Amino acid sequence: MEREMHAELSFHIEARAEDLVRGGVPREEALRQARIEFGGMERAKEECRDARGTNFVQSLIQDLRFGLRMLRKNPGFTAVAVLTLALGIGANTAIFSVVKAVLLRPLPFKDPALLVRVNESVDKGTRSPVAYPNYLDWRTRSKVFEEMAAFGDCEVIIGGKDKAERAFCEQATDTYFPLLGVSAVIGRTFAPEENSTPMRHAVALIGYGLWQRRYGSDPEILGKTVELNNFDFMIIGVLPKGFLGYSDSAEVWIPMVMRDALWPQTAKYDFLHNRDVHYHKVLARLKPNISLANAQAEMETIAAQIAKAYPKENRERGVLVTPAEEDFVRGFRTPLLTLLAAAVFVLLIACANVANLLLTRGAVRDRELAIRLALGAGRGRLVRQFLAESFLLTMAGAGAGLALSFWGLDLLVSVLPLSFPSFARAHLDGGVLAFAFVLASATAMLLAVFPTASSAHHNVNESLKEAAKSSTGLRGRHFGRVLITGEVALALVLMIGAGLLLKSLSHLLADNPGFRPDHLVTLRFYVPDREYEGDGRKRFGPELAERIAQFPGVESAAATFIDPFLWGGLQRGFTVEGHAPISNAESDTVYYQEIGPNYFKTMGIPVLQGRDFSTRDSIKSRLVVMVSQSFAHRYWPGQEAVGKRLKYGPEDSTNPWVEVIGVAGNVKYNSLRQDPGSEPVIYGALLQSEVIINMSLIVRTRTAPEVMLGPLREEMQRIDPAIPVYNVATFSERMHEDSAETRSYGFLLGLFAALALLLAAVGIYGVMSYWVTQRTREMGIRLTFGARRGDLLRLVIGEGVWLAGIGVAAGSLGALAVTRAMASFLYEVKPFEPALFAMQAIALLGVVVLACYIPARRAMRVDPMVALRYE
Amino acid sequence: MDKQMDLLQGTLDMLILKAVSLGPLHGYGVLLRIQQISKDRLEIQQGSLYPALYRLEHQGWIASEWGESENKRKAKYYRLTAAGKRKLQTEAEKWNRMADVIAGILQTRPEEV
Repeated sequence: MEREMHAELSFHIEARAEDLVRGGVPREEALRQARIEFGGMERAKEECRDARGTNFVQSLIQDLRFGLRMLRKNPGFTAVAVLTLALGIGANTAIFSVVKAVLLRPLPFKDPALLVRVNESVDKGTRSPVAYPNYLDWRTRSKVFEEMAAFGDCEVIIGGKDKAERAFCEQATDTYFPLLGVSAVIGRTFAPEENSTPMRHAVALIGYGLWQRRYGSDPEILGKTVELNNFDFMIIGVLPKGFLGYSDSAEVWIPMVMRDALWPQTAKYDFLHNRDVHYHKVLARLKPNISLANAQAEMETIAAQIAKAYPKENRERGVLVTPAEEDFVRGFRTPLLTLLAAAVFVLLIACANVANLLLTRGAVRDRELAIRLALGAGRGRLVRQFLAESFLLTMAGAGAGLALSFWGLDLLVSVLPLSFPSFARAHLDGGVLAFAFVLASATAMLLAVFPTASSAHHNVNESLKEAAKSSTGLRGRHFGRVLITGEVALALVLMIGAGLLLKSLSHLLADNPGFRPDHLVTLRFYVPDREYEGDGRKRFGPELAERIAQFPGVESAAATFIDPFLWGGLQRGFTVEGHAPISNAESDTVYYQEIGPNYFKTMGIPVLQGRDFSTRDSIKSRLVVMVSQSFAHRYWPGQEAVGKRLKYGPEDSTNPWVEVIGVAGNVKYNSLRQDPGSEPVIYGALLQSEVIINMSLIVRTRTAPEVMLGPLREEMQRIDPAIPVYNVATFSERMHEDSAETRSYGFLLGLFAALALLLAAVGIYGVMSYWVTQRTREMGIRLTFGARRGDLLRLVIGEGVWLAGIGVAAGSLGALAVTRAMASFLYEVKPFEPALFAMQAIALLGVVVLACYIPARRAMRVDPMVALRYE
Repeated sequence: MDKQMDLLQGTLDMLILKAVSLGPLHGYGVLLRIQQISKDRLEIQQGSLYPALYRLEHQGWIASEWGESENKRKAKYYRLTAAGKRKLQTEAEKWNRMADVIAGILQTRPEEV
């Protein structure tokens, strides 16, 4: 366009000159005359550009070109600004891609927005699984749902004799698959009749992965047999790739009514007809015009009818309808949003720094701007120019930030301890790119506001006379104050958040778990099914422990049916003799664990009163229990617990009374953040057990526990090759994993806090240096009038610290508000910890002093004579 | 009139439209044609000609394309668009009415007031 214009005007001059030559004027002279006649060429061009109208794209390109030139001319400024923005935008993009994958991605089922979970509720709030007959009643009576389905999930052993492997199995009603919108890729899903008569149709569906892995993608798979817990099922279908059921881990499915085939030992509980077995999970699909509240209301009516008909089984029970999505995002929302907020804080600080850089540079460019204004550039044009520059800066920053998050994302996901749903894969996709772009654009606008606001007040004459320095200085100082205060506040919030998490972590790791975790390993196994009928099953675990205890390098071994820090035992209703009936909510805080002899000795848990179980406490002797200290303290405060009696179920149940024979010390068994005092334990004897499916072998080793894992597993399988052994770990690994969540949030938040602190220090240093430069003359005058150099040092540092002090106050208040959201991640740390707040504030002020010190030194070294001549 | 007249404000646009309505012209050609049809009685600031051309083009009254000049050089030629034709017509009418009114005023004698 420019070139065309130039060509056109040149042509005019040439043509005019040629005419003059024809009239007898010498060529040189003709050209000169033509130019004179034409008048100011540049002015004409400028007028032409204006006349052409403001073609948006063209002037934008022009602005961008000019901006690029300005940025290239100041490589230092550009590098610092781009790097700062890259850190801020990169952190946000990386966290956002995780947020998007986990929180914003719809569930991989048909119309996930209409999918709800229907649970029974205990005490009006706590969700509880559902009794199957209740589900059947709900399904026939409710009119708010298009369809309802029930399912259960558990582990099974596939192929007992050869290639035994553990897998997760869902028992589902025939409505389950249509409800989720899933159909088989080979064969079909369950037919209604296959889920009507119990134990009639032994059919199974297998997952795509299992089909590929175990059956080599056999196209003739239909009609073949799969052995699940030693029971033969006929395969009638293969489900699509990636489908793992609602439990997100299942690989094999059987009809709900075939459940007893997997667990004949529990058949006597009659899962399908007993309203007291609250075991099943229920899914439903809302009719399109029904709201969640409508559904809840109708279900409450139905639940009330059922409770009236069966009052005993439905005591304290209601119903709760919740969006299915909640199941998948609940645990992730707070931590991810906390991290996102932290990343936004970092970006805000980065923005403030770059804005300050732009502003100080704006002051340097005062004369340039004034000249351009004087030459007739419109203010709108200047604003556009600033926008173009900050746009270029932030886009470069966003580009670098995306590169950062591209490399950092895998690291981030591996550092995050959460097991995200299988369908949530964090990656940089279009949505994330769009987010980065929007974020960068918003940043650019924010950045452009500062120099624009500053130039809007411009008095051209003053700037040209260079007197305007002091006036921009004032505006700059105002912004600088806001910047110091704001950055200090934001950094402090992050530092306190990270501090609380790290302090929780140290508590978690240092706290006494109630047992000796060193030299301790756990190996989980299934009791092989057919070979050990009747009494043999009960003795299997304890006998295995006895044999393993003889193994070289083993100090002692014991069996328990819990899986330490993964599964803490059963909750079952109980009655304490002479004590008022215990509510469901209260009995849910008590865990029932079955253990073999030597358990307390192996774990290193002290037996405080009475005696430990022995091999004599068997099926032939009377039933006995042990309890934890907290149990004894809760139900028999100030009394001797040994000799007291309790029974399972309500007072009038037919269960026998059992006597307490001993009290053991409190331990943590569910998680490190557990308060053992509020979750008491009843210990039953494995040798007197009714139901044993799988259990763990706890082994205390003499040598390094980690090198014993392999040999122990081999020894177990040498004793009985049919034992599937899994979940093998040392206790320190288990406890490390258990604290992983707190550790990695602490680590990430700490990282953000460090980043924020660094950026804030750089920002404060920038502001203070600029002030000192601005006030060189003032310093000179002060010195001339007798101020000592130390006074100047104090003046500069004092100003910085005073402002930072305001920031600290604001930050502390902010932290109070924000850390409340983190309460669930804290352990033995309150959201408000005065000592920690003070410590972080002091550390922060220390950094501020340091950031002010270097510019303050410069102020101190001012030579009065030079300073007075300055400007 | 011996002396060249300066152009009245706003009339350059109309003259350009008229000049190109007689056939496509390059910028210098527009200048020459106006001088020719005004019999050299109008003085046109050569520098102000091009901004006017650009403005008219931007408004869509004339269109341009590159072509070859009489002496085989590349030159940008302007021609009138349909919208420009209508514009020229209304401008001419307006100008004539205005000229009548002004002429009428100027011819007024004292006794007529």
